Amino acid sequence: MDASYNYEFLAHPKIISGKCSLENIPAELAGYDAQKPLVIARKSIVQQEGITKKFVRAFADSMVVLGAVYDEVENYAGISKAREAAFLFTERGCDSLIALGSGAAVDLAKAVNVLVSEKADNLSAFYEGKAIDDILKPLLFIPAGRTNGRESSNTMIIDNREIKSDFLYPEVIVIDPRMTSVCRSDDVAESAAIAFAQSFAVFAAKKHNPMTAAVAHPALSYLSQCLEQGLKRPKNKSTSIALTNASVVASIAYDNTRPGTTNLLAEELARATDLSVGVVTGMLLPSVIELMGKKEFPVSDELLLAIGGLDVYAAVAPQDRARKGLETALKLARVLLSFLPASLKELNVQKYIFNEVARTVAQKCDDIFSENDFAEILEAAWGRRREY
Amino acid sequence: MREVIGTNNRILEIDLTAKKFLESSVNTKDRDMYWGGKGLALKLLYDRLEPGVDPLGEKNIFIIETGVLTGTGAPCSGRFEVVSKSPLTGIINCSSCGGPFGMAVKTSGWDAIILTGRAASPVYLIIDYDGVQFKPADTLWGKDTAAAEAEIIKEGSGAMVIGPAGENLVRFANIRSGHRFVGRGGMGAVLGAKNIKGIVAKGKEIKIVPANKKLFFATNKKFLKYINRNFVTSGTYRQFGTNSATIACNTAGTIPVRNFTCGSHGEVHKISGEAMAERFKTKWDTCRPCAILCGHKGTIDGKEIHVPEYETVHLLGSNLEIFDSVIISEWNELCSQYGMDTISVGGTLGWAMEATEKGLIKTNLKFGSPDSVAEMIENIALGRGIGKDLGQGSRLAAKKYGGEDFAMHVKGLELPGYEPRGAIGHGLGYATANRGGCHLSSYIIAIEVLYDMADPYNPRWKHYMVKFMEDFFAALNSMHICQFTAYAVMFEPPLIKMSPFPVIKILMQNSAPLAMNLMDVSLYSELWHAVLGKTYLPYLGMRKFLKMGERVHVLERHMNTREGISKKDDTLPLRLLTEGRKCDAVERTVPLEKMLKKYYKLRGFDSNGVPQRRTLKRLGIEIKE
Ligand code: SF4
Repeated sequence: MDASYNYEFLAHPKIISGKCSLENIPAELAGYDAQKPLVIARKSIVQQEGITKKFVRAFADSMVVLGAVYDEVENYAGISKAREAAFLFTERGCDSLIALGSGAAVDLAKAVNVLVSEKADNLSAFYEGKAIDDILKPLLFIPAGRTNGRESSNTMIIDNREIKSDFLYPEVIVIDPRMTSVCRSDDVAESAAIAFAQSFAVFAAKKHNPMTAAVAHPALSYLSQCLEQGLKRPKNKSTSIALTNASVVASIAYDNTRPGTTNLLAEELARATDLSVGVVTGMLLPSVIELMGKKEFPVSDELLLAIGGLDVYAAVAPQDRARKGLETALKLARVLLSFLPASLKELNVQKYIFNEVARTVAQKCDDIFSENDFAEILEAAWGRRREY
Repeated sequence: MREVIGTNNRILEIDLTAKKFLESSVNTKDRDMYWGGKGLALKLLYDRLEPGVDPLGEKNIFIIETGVLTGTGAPCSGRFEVVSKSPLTGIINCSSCGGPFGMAVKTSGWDAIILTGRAASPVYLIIDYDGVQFKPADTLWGKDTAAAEAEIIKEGSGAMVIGPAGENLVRFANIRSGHRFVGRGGMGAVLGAKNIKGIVAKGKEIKIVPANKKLFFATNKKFLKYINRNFVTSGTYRQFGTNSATIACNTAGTIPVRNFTCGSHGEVHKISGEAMAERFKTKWDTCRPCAILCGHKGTIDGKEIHVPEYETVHLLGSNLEIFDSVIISEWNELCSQYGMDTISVGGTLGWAMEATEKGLIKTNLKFGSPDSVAEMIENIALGRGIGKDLGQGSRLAAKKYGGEDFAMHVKGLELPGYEPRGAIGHGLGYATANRGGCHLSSYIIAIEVLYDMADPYNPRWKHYMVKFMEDFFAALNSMHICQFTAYAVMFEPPLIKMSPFPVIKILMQNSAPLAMNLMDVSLYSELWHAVLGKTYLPYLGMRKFLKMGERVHVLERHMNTREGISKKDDTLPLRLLTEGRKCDAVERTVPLEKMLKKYYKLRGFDSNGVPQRRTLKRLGIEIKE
């Protein structure tokens, strides 16, 4: 049997993308027999002019009543806030959840979902490995603002602890340009960096999975077509919806592959430095790609197809496609880098932590990269000069 | 005995790896710009320490600096400053101590000691006029601080030692000297990492004589007069110590209760300075020389104890919902013996209790219950079980187990015993303090609560007050003289003393620069000039003094920005920024962003909190690329 038929793939969330998508929410909720959602939103999103109005307007003439809007979400998702929101959920008799605004809001919504569905007071049992073994309340996710690449996945991070379960996938993801266009350039750069690293991980994985590649493909295509424009004009509706789509599908693809080098390294470095994961991801990407090229680490030649498009792919000889794929990826990563700090040195990242970070990532990662490779990537990202 | 006019101007540079030492000195320009103590120590570090080194690695540098006033007999001047990179915060840490070691170093003929490298095995150092001797410390390693100090003090007149916590690299390990401590920022762990159990200085080898005796003694007299008539320095502190602030802070809602979820408590009177004075039959036990006499000792069932300071009382007491002064004093002793900062221990235990309650970790710790606390303090010091993770401080523990939103630290340094939702200017002071969550960087609570001069909830002018006090305290620590003298020097000179209080209060609220500048603190400047015999121009005294303080503060900030510090770090725990306190009639948070913006502008920092080149240039700080 052809090896490419040996794979696993789960794509749970339903995606509704496009103009007026928000107006589909009542019908979607009705499909789950729900009509009183608790909305969990990022404070920074709700504070943006007109957002709440646009959002609430989508429910006009429907049977849906918003149970409450919990907008106390900052950058950190912890059990304290989850308990507060869960209390609100129960008090108001809610039957579903809507997470508005990416990142911690979605993590928190997932945590609330576990608390109310499993009737738990905290998540300690789940940290210790207890499985979530039943269907949770319906959760809808509306992307807005900077993403962390986990929202559309089966993972939540609460209090820095990761809990994974296929029941954690949002049921529906509603991508509406009125919501996606609230970003600033730095939000776009950071979200794009994570999406890029996630989809790149799919093509750099040791074992090829045709389904993940198929899902990651549009993510990279959208990025290569819209990134530059999206960074320059973050409020543009058509580029913002394309880039949000890239983030969502990259996240779904990444969920079905092994953790990627850039992602792991960025997460660990961000944890050690308190820098944002998106910034660090964008800064590490070129160094990872360069090292892969230098060491001739294998990469799927479909990478070139996804970024360069069919014409470029067809014009390159099959044996050169992997190398060329890395070159195009590097070019795209450099576009991203032009909107981020050039080097870790510029951010005054303390070098002594590199060894510890490299060691920790090497322990987590079963990739072809060694601890020395990780250290080399960090060194390169530290000393990089702005040249593009 | 040899006489030295002014100051020694001898620095002892010890290479621990090579077991060698050399003598160096400070040039006149640096002396004039940084004066001594904290300022000069920072400059010495700036010239030697590369950014980005591991605080617990061989490349970190440890500096002990006395002040120009040390050894002169000026009131409250028996102090020394320790400066190094902190393993708790990863940035520069300055910590002051009133133990006998400072005086012993100065009278051994040295102004400063610089330790570089790492000893191959545990040693202790003996300092005398001729240099240093390295002695094996194998038999001392593992001993508690009191026992270790008792051993090595036989070879000198002042010592500093670490306890088991420093040896085990607990990130908030402190250093003991007599009954006082180099408390904050884990300086004990830096010594532990360098394999230094202690340092003893022979002392009493030289006598410091002020160059301008007449001016010095006249100023000293005035200084003593101020101290002896101020109600804090000659009254409450002298009688009840720093813990005399408890009742006032409780009334104002600024004590930490239950891991900073509330600002006052009905049982707090049981652990006030007044209650402890009565309970323990307290007597003075102070730094030397001192004219304020804030330190106290007492007895519990016939056993001598050191009466805990305000910070210890509230971090190990109200913050854990413990209101038993005996238990708090016992934990204080335990921390002292193991060599750990009581503020960080209390702050980390507060986090651990809440994390336990919320299911993030499994311990037997519980708010309001003293059970298991002593055992956990031991576990932290000895690196046992979860104690090992708690010994990394609340920031790292929360990164590992979660609960970052209620880890009460700034830049990794646990918050002291003042709850800033009851005094927002003090909150700004925490956020901007160079070493992290520190009350001594600006101590605005004195203006907002203790002296009741400014509305504690109104952000108006708080940026100015914080900057003024930061500069002032940085200058004081560069003298080097006890910060508590500030009460007397700020509020006793004629102009401010004669001004009616309501006028001062109105001025402070509406035009703080005017009110603050009524406080003539030039007396310090006068003393420094008198000791060194430099020409003193009275009208320039205060300006020169404050400008020096500003330079020191900005140099430290500049060094920290080279270590990655920026606006993202000048913040407060999420709890203080986003949660109102249920116990308050009106739920408030700290409006930090507003105040911070004005503060940066006033300081000459860019919007990311980095000192601008022109600011560094104006202050004469050399920029190293
Ligand atoms: S006032 Fe207190 S801290 Fe200051 S020197 Fe005197 S005893 Fe030491």
